[in-house]
Amino acid sequence: MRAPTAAPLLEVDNLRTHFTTPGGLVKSVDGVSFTVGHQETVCIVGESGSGKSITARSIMGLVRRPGRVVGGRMNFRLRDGSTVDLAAIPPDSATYRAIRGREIGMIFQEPMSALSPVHTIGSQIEEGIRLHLGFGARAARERAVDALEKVGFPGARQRLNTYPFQLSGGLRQRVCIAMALACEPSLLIADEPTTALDVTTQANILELLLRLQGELGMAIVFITHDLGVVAEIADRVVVMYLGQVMEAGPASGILGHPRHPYTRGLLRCVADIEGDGLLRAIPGIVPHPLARPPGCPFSTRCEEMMPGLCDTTAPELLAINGESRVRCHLWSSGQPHVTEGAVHG
Amino acid sequence: MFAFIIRRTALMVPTMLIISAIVFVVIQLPPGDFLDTLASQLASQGEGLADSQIALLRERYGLDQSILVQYLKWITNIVTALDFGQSFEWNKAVLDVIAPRFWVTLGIALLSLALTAVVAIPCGIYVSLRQYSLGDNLATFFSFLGLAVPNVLMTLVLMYASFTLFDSNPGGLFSAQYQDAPWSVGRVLDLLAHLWIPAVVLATAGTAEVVRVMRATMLDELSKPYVDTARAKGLTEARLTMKYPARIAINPIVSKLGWMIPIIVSSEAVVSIVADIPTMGPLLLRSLLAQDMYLAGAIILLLAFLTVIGTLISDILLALLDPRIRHAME
Amino acid sequence: MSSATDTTAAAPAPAVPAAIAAQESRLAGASEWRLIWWRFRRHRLAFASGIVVLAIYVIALLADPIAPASTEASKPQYTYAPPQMLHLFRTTDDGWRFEPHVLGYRVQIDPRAMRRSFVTDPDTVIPVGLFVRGDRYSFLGLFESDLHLFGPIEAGQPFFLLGADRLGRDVLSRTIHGARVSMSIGLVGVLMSLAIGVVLGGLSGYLGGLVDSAIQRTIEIIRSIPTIPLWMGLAAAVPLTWHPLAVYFAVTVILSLIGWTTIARIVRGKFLSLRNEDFVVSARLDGASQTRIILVHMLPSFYSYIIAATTLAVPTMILSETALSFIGLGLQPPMVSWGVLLKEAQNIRSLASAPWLFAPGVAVMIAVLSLSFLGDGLRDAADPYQK
Repeated sequence: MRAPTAAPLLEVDNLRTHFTTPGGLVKSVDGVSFTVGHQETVCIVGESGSGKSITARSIMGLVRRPGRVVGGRMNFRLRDGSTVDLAAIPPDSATYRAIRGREIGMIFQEPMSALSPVHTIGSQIEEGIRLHLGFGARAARERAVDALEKVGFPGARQRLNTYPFQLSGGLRQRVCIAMALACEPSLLIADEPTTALDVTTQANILELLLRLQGELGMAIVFITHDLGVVAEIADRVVVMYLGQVMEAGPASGILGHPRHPYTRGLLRCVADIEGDGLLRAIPGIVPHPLARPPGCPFSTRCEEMMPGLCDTTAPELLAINGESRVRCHLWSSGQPHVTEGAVHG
Repeated sequence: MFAFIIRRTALMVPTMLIISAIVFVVIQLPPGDFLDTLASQLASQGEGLADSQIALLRERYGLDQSILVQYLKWITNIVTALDFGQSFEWNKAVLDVIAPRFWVTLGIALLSLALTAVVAIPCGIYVSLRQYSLGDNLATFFSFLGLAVPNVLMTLVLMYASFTLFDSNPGGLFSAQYQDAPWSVGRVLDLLAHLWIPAVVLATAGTAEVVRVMRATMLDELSKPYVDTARAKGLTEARLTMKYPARIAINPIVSKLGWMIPIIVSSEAVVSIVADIPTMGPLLLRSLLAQDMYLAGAIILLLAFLTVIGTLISDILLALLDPRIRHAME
Repeated sequence: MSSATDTTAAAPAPAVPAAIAAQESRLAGASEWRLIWWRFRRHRLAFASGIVVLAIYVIALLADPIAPASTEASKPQYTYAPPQMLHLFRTTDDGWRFEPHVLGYRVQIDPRAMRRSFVTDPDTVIPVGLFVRGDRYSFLGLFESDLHLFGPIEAGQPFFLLGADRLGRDVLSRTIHGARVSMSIGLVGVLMSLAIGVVLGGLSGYLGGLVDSAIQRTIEIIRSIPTIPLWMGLAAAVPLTWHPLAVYFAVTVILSLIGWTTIARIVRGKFLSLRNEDFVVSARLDGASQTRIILVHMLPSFYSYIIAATTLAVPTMILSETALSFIGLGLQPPMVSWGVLLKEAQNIRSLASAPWLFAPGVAVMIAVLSLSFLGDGLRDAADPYQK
């Protein structure tokens, strides 16, 4: 574990979230650790099925049955300075409910389905404010208008009574952000909030989130599969694959000098690393969650797979020069292995 | 919204006209007419009716004209003067024969509809939250049972139970002592004691259906992302369930209730015949057997009218409840 | 380096273990019907219900030899005789031995209520056997026989496993015979509804436009007329003088006049969603005729739905026949259907003294429940993704 310089806002340690399915136990999150400092933006990156969304839901206490947080710690520093272990409190307890929406806000991928279609946006924003801040109807309304204005929602006061289906995708996501931030939480969890939006709207929303982060002084955990987004906003990056952290560290390091073959593969999907003008997808598909390969989870798709080692022994997540960590046999001595045995593409 | 109601109501007019034509054809179908029935009845009692007399009567009732003329006359009188014609058998205006029974039919239909809603909606919400629990399995079992037991059988079983357990034979509307008594608490209770069997029978099949729909919709809605959003706001499970998924799952139920009205009105006819409750059902049966065609026609038409009004109300309620539908209208 | 790891390295390894992969290839290779069959087999309740349904239809077909008595064989001295218990063993002085039998009746007269009642008489033993001679019948008009699957070994002895009715007729035999009319009216009625529903629903969905609106309005209007009053009106038009078989067909036609609307809606919905599917569009571009497109390309792709919807429509038909016959507007005695039989139970006083008259009602319930479970199972198997 990396020694934090100051007490972090959130410290996730060896988090494990498992799903009991008819086919067997699915270890969606299997020993994930990372920290989020105050006012910091941490991006969790990975393909579908990497467990990044389940990690976000675990923090928020929103894992649905048959899933359950089965182990680890999630130490979260509350507004009053005390620290709670989110993994130790039942998700439907009053303690957790007092944290959800007040200390931690969350926005989701699909702004349309994340809002109730038959309730006005005003009603949906106000209820959190009334619940956590004890405001009356009128005060909550004012606060909701404030929140909408902060997220750049035009004509907020007049449009409190509109329904989500009357708004564009970008405006709906702004409503979601206003709703999540109405009680000014110290941590915002954003689960792929821009994936369902078009490129221009995507950029506007990212810009808005960064501005609000500055204004409200909050930390953001941003879940995405898009490394382009990561480059724009991340302070630190956690790369996940099959429920485990493959590589973590400062954004500049991960993007500039990716160490794990998986991170490099992800980068090749968005940037022309070889300089031959080609973008490359990672070959193969993410293994079935019930059929985890022995050894390194990425070994079935890795271009630098070392037979006899990678497909038999699981690598440890090891610290490499201070803040960076990587889970790969290539780096198991802290130094890159000479990759003579690596198989050609 | 107002425009929608007007438009939707105006749409009823052609529907009702077409239905009235179908009804008229149906009541004309049996070979012969009421006068033949009357003549053969009288003949069996030893009294003859001269052919000339029959011809005279036939002319008086307009039975000698073509079907189209008869229909036009019939529908014009209904629309302009609310005159449904004469009942041959009762020798009274059809409306006077039907009126007291119409309210009983309406009362039973509304009572069973209310019973269905009050029982089925909470049940549906409960079983969706406790999926695969004992309560859920019981509800599923009773749902199937409710759908599988023929109404006649259930009426008979309840009457049998009431007869053997309480030694009461709950036919009719009132017991003898309240038959002509003025309205009092006792009379109302007596009325309910007579109406519970049809209300329960009619509500059972409906309840089974509504619980099934409610459970399926709730399970669907509970998995929607907006439920997570509500949880992320820190709401309690009870509060968010009632405000979001339960509220949204009501919408298909409202339209379902609209479609249930014809079924309730239909089944009510049979149940009342079995339980001998003086509603329009037994009257319809009797008028059909006696070929009292204007009476029979008026009853079928009124029952269809109840149905059409019912779906109209459920459409309006649905528009009020669901802003998406409301906005699509405007 | 072993050859196994070599292949693994050269090509990305299968992401799925062998077992799952094998299953998936099995699934991929199976025809749609086979898939439906597999999914259906896993629905244990539906599967069991299917067997029950099959059994009921077999009993209905073979009613004459299966029922111990004919429908009209009456023994007035046994009016409202209660059900007899079937004993498999008989105790005598030399111990007991296997000899199936029922006990005869003794009449008791309650002096105060002045009512006759039956009690079983332990001294009168009526031996029962398989393949016994009894009432003569003509099996489906093909041949005559007097062989019955089971019954009293000595013909003419009282044998009422489900009691007797008002005229001393065997309720069990009548219920078995009733299955023939009730179950077949469901089937025939549904087949008629199916024919109308598929044609009109198909036209509605495939042609669209004016035809579609006309058919849809018709369906709406038909559905807004309360069915039973309409049926009552139509059934009252069936002359009493008609041959029972003609009445039977008339009632079937009347029931299917309304039943087709549901099937038409399902077919139309399917056609609408299929109309722009690739395989239909490509058939159209290939110049296939409309009839060919509908019959060869579109219909087969949802046979399974139609079968499921049809199965689910049979119970409605059975329930409707029961209601109509019960109020006296459908089939009339001497025809026996479950509805006609239930009419016997209409008098609450006779019902109170002979509750076994409910038996045909229980038969309706069993038939409707098993058909519903079967239909539900078929629907789930045909479309596991449908809600």
